[in-house]
Formats: sequence, structure tokens, C-alpha cells
Amino acid sequence: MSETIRLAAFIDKGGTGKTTATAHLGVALAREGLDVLLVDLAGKQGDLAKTFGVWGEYRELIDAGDAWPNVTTVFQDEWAAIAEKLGEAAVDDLVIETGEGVDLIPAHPGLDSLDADLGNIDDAAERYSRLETFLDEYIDPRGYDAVLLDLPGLTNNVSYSGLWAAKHVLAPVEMGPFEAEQADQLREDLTQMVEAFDVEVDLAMVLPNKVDTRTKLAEEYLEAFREEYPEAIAPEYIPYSQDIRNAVDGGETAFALEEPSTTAEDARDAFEADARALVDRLGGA
Amino acid sequence: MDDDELEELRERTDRGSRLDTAAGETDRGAFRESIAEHLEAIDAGERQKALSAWDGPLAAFVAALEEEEHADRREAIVDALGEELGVDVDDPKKSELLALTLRVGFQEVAGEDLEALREALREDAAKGL
Ligand SMILES: Nc1ncnc2c1ncn2[C@@H]1O[C@H](COP(=O)(O)OP(=O)(O)OP(=O)(O)O)[C@@H](O)[C@H]1O
Ligand SMILES: [Mg+2]
Repeated sequence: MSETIRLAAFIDKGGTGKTTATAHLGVALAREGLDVLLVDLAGKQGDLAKTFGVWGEYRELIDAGDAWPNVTTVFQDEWAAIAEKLGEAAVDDLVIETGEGVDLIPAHPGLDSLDADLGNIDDAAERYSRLETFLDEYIDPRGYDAVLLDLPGLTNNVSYSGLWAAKHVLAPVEMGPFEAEQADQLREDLTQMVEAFDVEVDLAMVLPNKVDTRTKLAEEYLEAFREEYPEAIAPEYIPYSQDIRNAVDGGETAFALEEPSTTAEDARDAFEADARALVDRLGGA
Repeated sequence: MDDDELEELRERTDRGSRLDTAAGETDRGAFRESIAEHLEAIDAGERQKALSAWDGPLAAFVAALEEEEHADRREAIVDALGEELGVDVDDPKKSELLALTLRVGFQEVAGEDLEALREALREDAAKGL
């Protein structure tokens, strides 16, 4: 594989499973033998690092004032100068290893003010393209096969930067009456982005998550999503699984569970199938 | 980091240092726990759900809004509140109108703190699963 595939988990809604999907798809890709980097832009809570049980450690670095450079630094005017001074160490310092075979650039409290800082940049292309430039120049040369970005569940300068950089969107959706609207809104936003800035951002995968097929309604929503997004819909939906929640709360993905429940196994299989579909769709293989 | 230039670059780019944010976050954890305790008390019927405020002029303002004659004005306000919060509200009762207004106010000046409420509610909901 030569090209690095990029994907951003995004939908303008909280709690649909962006972080969970980023983590699990990342691990699924790594299990397929890909070199995977995850980037947490979703906010200072560090959810993605928590999912891998590595936030406590990074938090200590932050508290000690030693988490610099960090994910926010790569957006700054000074990044090129910093990278030149630090050499390879600049990127090494950003990336931490997880216990599940994927690398991670964790979130940082500075993400809050970063959004405002970006807002001060008048030119839209200049404002949104910084992350892309960073990935192009500093990450892709490292030979990663896949870079997955976890974005905030709201539309702001940071999430726009993520969309701009990734160009492909993964939208986890729950099965409910407002979700379809949210997904439509996303599709509209992406179209607008294409028109306004002439950048092609496509909806690579709509991923139904937390699906409880015991309810008839869930089946109906699922069917509606399949009809509405015949191309983007994920081949497999992710079932609701208390085990996922428990695993993530305990600092690991469902792939790390030694005795997964049936639903957790179903979820794992689904993530694996969807990960393969992503590689196909994004032309990485 | 003994290089002066690098140190300067660092100073210019280091955002949200430990003091303001780390402390803020632990605080928020404690705040969220307090909210959770009160939520439990409310669930158990040990604390009442009503809020009250003592403010004559505002009471007059709201009373006027409640009159049928001023329904348009009331609806415009409700729409604006709903838009601010990203929710759809239809013909709310006085209590809802006040609650929405409070929410918008808190969100405006204390969005972070309101987030603690959201988290507490989310955790509370998750407990029942
Ligand atoms: N398939 C699933 N089954 C059960 N629980 C799930 C599933 N997917 C996600 N969850 C749980 O739902 C909650 C929200 O998921 P997650 O944090 O991934 O959403 P998010 O979209 O990243 O949220 P935010 O917008 O707050 O960043 C978490 O507690 C997570 O463990
Ligand atoms: Mg998240």
C-alpha cells in the first residue's frame, strides 16, 4: 500500500459513537495489517486516549507542563519552525503508542482556544488547511496506511479543519427520528463545503451504531438509512452492546476483551467488515 | 529544551496550560458529582423540581407575555430561544419558557458548567441500562 487513507469521524451531534467507531475501526484496520494513526481533535476530555487507557499518563504530562508540542501546536504559524528545530522528535513527541497496535495523537486542553484562534484567520482556505498541510508534510511521510481523525460533535473551525484534511467522512448514526435529519444536514454541509471552497469532501460511510434490532422501529430506521444512503451505508451495522461501553469505560476496545459477549463479538465482526469496506472505498488496498 | 529560540516558540504556541484547564476539569468532575447527587434526590422525591425567583418587574414582563394578545411576541421569543439551544419548541407553558430562558442564559455565560449537567444526565441515563 502506498497512499495513506484518511477518514474523519464526524456528525454534528454528540454521543452517536464517533470516538468509539474511530477507535474500533482503527484497531480493526491494524488487525488487517495496516499501520494506523488516530488523531483526537474531539476536545480536551481526551476520550480517544481514554478508550485506550492512556489518558491518565498523558494527563500527567499535561499537568506537568510537558505535553508540548501537542496536537494544537501543528495548527500554529510556528509549527514549521518548531519542526525544523526539533527534527524527527517533533512528530515523535506528538504520537503515543496504545496497547492495541494503533498509534495515537491525543487531545489537549488547548483545543478549546485553538478553535477561537483559527477563527481569527480571515481567509477560509488558510484557516482550514493547516491540519491538511501538517498531515501531508509530516505524517504521510512516516508511512502510515491509515489516519483516522476523531472530530467534535459540532461544527466549528476544528471540525472543519478535520473534514478539509481528511476529505472522507465517517458518520456514525443512531437509529432515531432526528438522526436522519442530522445525516441529511451533514450531506448538505458537505455539498456546501464543496461549493464554497472547491474542496471535494465525500460521505464515505454512514455507520448505524447502537442498533437494537429487538425493536421493530430500529429495523425500520435501518431500512430507511439503507434507502437514503445506498452507496455510503456501511455493510454491517454496529449492534448496541453493553460490553462495548464497559470495555471503553475500562480503557480498552471490544477487541481487547478476552471473553466477549455475543453482542460484543457481533460488533467486532461488524467493525472488521466495515473497516475492509472502507479500505475498498477509499482505494487504499 | 535549552535552546532560547525553541523556548520562545514554545511560549508562543503553548495553549491552555495546566493551571487554567487541569484545575477546571477536576472542578467540573466535582461539580458534575454534586449535580448527580441532586438529580438522585429529585428522582427520589427528596428535592423539589420547581425553581423560583423573586423579581416583580420580571414577573410583570412574563405575565404580559402570557396574554393571548401578545402571543406573537411570545412565539418569537420562544423561537429564538429554541434556535439558540438547537431544539424545537412548540407552544410552551410558562414553566418551559422560563426554563428555556434560564438555559440560554447559563449557556451564554457558563456553557462549560452546563456541560457538567449534560454529563451528569448522560451518566444517570446510562445507569438505567
Ligand atoms: N455500539 C455501542 N453499544 C453500546 N454503547 C455504545 C456503542 N457505541 C458507543 N457506545 C457508548 O455510547 C457513548 C457515546 O459514544 P462515543 O463517545 O463514541 O460518542 P461520540 O459521538 O464520540 O460522542 P461525543 O460527541 O460526546 O464525542 C459512550 O459511552 C460509548 O461507550
Ligand atoms: Mg467523541
